Amino acid sequence: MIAATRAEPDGRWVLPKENAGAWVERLLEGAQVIAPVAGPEGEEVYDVVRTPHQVLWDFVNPLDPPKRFVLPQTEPLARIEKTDGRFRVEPIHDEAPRVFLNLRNCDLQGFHFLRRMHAADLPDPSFLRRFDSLTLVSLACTRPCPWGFCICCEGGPFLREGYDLQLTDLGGVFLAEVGSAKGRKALEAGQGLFRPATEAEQVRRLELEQQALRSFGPETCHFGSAMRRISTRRVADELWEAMGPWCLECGGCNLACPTCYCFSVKDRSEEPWRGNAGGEGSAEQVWTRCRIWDSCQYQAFTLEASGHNPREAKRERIKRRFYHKVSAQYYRKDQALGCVGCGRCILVCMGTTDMPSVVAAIRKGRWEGGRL
Amino acid sequence: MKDLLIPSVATILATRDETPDTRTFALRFRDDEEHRSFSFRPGQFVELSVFGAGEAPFCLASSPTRPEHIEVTVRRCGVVTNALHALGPGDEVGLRGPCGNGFDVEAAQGWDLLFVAGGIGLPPLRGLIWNVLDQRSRFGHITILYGARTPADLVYKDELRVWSAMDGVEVKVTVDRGAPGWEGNVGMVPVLFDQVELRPERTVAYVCGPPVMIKFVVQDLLMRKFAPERVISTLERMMQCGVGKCNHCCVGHRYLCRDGPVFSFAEIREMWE
Amino acid sequence: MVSERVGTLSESRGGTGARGVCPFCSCGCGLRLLHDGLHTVGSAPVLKHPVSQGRLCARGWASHEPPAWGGRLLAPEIREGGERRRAGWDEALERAARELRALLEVGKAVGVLVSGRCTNEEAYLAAKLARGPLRTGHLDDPLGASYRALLAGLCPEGPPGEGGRALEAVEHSRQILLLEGDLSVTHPRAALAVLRAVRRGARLVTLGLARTPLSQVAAVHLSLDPLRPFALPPDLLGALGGGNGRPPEAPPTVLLAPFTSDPRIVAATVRALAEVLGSSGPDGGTGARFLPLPFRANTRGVLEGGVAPDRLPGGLALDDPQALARLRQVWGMDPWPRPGLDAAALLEQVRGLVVVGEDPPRSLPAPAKAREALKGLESLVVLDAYASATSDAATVVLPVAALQETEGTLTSLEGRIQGFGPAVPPPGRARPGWEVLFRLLELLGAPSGRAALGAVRAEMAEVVPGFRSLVGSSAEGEDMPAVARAGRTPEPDLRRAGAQGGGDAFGSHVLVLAGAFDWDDDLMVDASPTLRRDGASRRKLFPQGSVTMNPADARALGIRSGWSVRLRSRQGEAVVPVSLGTSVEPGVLLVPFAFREALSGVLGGEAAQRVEVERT
Ligand SMILES: Cc1cc2nc3c(=O)[nH]c(=O)nc-3n(C[C@H](O)[C@H](O)[C@H](O)COP(=O)(O)OP(=O)(O)OC[C@H]3O[C@@H](n4cnc5c(N)ncnc54)[C@H](O)[C@@H]3O)c2cc1C
Ligand code: SF4
Ligand code: SF4
Ligand code: FES
Repeated sequence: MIAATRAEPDGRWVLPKENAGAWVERLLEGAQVIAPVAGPEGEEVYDVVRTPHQVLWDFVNPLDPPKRFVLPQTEPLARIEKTDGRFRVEPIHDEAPRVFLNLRNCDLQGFHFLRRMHAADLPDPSFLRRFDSLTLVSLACTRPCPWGFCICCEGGPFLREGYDLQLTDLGGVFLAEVGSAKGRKALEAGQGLFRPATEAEQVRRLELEQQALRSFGPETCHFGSAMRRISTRRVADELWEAMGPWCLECGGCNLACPTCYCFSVKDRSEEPWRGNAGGEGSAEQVWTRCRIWDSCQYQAFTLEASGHNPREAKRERIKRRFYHKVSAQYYRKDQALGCVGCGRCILVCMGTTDMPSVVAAIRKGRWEGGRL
Repeated sequence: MKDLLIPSVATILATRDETPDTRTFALRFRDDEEHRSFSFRPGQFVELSVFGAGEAPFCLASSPTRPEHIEVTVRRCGVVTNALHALGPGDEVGLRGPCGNGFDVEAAQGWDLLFVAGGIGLPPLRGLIWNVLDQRSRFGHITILYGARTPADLVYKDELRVWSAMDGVEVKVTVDRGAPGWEGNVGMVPVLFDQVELRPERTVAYVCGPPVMIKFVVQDLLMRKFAPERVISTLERMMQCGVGKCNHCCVGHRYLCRDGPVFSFAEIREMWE
Repeated sequence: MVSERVGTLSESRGGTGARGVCPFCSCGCGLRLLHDGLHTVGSAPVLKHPVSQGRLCARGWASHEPPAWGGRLLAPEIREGGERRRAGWDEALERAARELRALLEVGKAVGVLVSGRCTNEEAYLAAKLARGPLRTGHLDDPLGASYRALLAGLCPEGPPGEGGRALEAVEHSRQILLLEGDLSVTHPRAALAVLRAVRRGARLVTLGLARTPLSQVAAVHLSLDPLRPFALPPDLLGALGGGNGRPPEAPPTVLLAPFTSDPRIVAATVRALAEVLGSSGPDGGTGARFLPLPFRANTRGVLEGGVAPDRLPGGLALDDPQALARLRQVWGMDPWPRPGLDAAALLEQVRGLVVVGEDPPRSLPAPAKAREALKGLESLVVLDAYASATSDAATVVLPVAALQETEGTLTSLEGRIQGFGPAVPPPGRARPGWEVLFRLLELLGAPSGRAALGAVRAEMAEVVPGFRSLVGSSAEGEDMPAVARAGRTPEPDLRRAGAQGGGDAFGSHVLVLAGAFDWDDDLMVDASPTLRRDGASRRKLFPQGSVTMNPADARALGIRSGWSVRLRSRQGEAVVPVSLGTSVEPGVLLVPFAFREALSGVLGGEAAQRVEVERT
């Protein structure tokens, strides 16, 4: 297989399903493997796997976003120690090698969105270090998920680039497409487990993609005209106002969104846990400076010390969310729409103001209460 | 590569009370090398940490031409600022920066300069004023107009005196409400416009202060035919990261911590969200 | 570089996370608590949870924050000669028992307060402590009075929708009457149920003292008269029926949340509603189904566990001979059968107090009075995870695990009893609350069984019918039978309840002092860096409190937001800043819950009263 890889560097390979477990076993030798597994309520969640048979190969995309693994809800940035009135600030770095297995392509697009944004302008080395230690293995969706609309956002279901490795379930085997050197390495870890794909298997992969595209359900989201209106301030304030009561300010749309990354920075006192873990040293006081998820839908997000709040009204905050995600101004800045079509906001919204509902309302110029 | 959000330790060298709730802190990075390599423009700001209490943005109130220490002038108004006021010389804080765009001093070369400040709006201009005064010959006439609510709220009282004693520098001060012993002007800052000679066509105006004050002053200046590109102001928003990542400070797709906080009025006019 | 304790991919350390139940409101949303082995570091929604169905409100999403960020009690402490010092568990427990026993021996009154953020197991043991060895009926939940006020005389058939599916029933209702403070704040998941019903075409009528987000989507909003809320708007039935004077065709669903913090007024209003809607009686009425909404995650379970001055565990009547006999048998001692005082009243009377997971000044209508009372106690034994004004005043502090650090069950507003396990161990030397209560019971001489949660549950199952399902491991999703009906609440004395006669011409405005509960001043909210910001900012900007005024009133007075007004009532006068909000009706001034005490000192404790308002 090594020889074949050299001869055909970007070739296509297949992994017979009976070899999948053995491959995961090999991946586990060199890295932490994160994959969809069964959660406590029997639903799919992403987690670090310990044994290969935890990995789900046929699953609905987990509601809780995989972005937690590159941008945790509570992320320790530095340990701050005070001794004799003097401070020591020790950055906490994380560059453990990890393989993200069976990522859906919408989420893969979300990951790249986050990487672009952390690399742009002033790069954030702490994020980039963690991200770049990650190998991204996506599993293309041969059956669209019930609520996704990735076809409206260049988010999937199949991708041409961006993955290190893209898998497609062909029935008895997974077809593997290599997208990068990291992907090739993951493939090579499975030496002897993969074999080159046949012509027929490659054709099958294309057929499945066409079939998947055709079978998208009614869930769509037409961004074009909404983007034109938002970018040119042609969405009436009354429309945002009308949506107000239908949003319960839970922030879920941001927190569960693969492209949202707003945060605050706070110091957590480690006092309560000193002694629990042992080996504390002699510091009088210890804090952990943490980056914690925040949401632009929370009233306090822009609240200033004076009490002045430029986005006090809910309509201002809803408007803000869609400006960041759907305006041409941000499209230019972020090089992408702020939505990958995963459909999570549809499920997570405590109200009814999810992405497709609001985009439709902007297009129609009318708010009728959103999703049922 | 240096971490984006991790502060370095700095030491408070001295403090000076400006008003009952405002204090200036002179700071120096604990590491000499780091201190020497810290360069900034007036109008930029730092993220200052009181460890355990948190982090908040403050304008650099000193001038890059006086690099022995850096100064911030802080009004006590919340968690971080209260914790900072409880510290004194010798105590340590965290510093990160400089952040933001700062004033474009080069572009103002050869122009007359008009500084209009209200209340706690003087600190960001102070760095610029000293910077300009330290290279006096490169600029035309300098006018400093400053207003505060009461005489007790005036900051940098000594320096106002020093500046007004300088050649080619005109300083006028007013308070909204007088107090016993106050013999100066009473009224909002714009009352001072009629006491000085304004040369809109040759002047760059810098306006800093509370939002309402900025609004009135800018209106007044535009009426007096100042060009919007040459009316320069700073904007304020809630900030967390100061480096364009956390999204707290956006106005539309502009980030005040990166694209600002300094903007010309011509730019401010175009901002919406 | 990576510190062992705070690995960066912390969220992945705890397997798939611990099964959690949201500790804030009583909706009972399920979540996954993520942790790094020591700290709780994330909250994740659970798509298949029957209540939350993948949703969480802002509080649910931050439910991992309070234990990790709040001011924790870490070691037992005892007060000695005015000073507090750390002590060992045995010493502190023995001290607590000795203090309480000493008071009992000289016949001084003791009481027990239990919060709605305790588990069912803790609540039951606390009730047993009171009615067992402490021989007292002075036993209450400080927010329980307003829940009992909703139940009084209502719910003959229990909450609507069989099988703990009351919220689902709301979603499919055709007519909804909502009595609320602001449901979208107090019970977001229930608010979603209402929104869904409206989206499906239901007719919503909102009823309250303030305009709320839900009142904006209602077909009709009816304002209650702040002086006489129980004198319901005359057109209520017609409004519900379709606005043309006809009563509703189908039985309406009535959601009841305390709309003011004065339980007497809540009780009177609910009673009036029951009369209008004819909930009871064979000859019809509207057949309305009532859904009372307790505030805290376990306000209902705490009541059903027996925490009330006039109930036995199981919510049974004090004079129920069978219940008493069963308790005697199970406890091995006579249960105290007499009623006691409610939370507000008992604080004034007792000399010794055990407080479990509660900071009474934050929950009771009169915070200053509560603080004073706590200071004057001879013995104050506080079991809590968080430091508070109450633990500051304690003679004995017993640090217990936060909800996220313990095993237990909570009973939601629908009556679902949901179990959860500890996500992380408690910090410092804190112990699970049930264990501490168990040992306290032992030390005070209650015959005890095995010190295991399973044994406690088995005991509960014998005396609390609804807890039968607790035995064994699957506490999930079981339903309680109908809510307690026993024990008639006394007729509210409406004169004392702050109702000044309607025909009174004094005053330009009506001041509502008893604003409805919101989360602004909640201890767990305050312990969360994400959630505390709004409330902390308001308290900082208005250290002396504020009143909310309709912008039209402000215009008429020529004042702006932040300016102060002088309020004159018959009791006195006060100067307060105003904040503006269209939520209040013109002519009404509303004091937010967090500021309820700022004015009561000067203007008297009336829930509502007429005032003259002037610019200062
Ligand atoms: C670019 C810039 C320059 C500033 N320069 C100065 C200065 O020179 N002197 C001075 O006294 N003040 C200055 N401020 C305002 C100062 O940052 C706030 O007063 C300060 O953040 C309040 O922090 P706190 O913790 O005491 O208040 P809290 O109300 O307790 O605020 C909590 C947190 O919210 C954030 N925050 C709240 N209000 C603001 C705000 N207005 N701007 C930014 N972040 C906020 C901070 O992160 C703060 O730590 C400046 C603000 C900005 C944006
Ligand atoms: S739009 Fe929906 S998901 Fe977002 S904050 Fe509002 S209620 Fe929550
Ligand atoms: S609605 Fe209530 S139970 Fe659900 S997440 Fe919010 S506070 Fe928690
Ligand atoms: S302060 Fe974080 S983006 Fe500007």
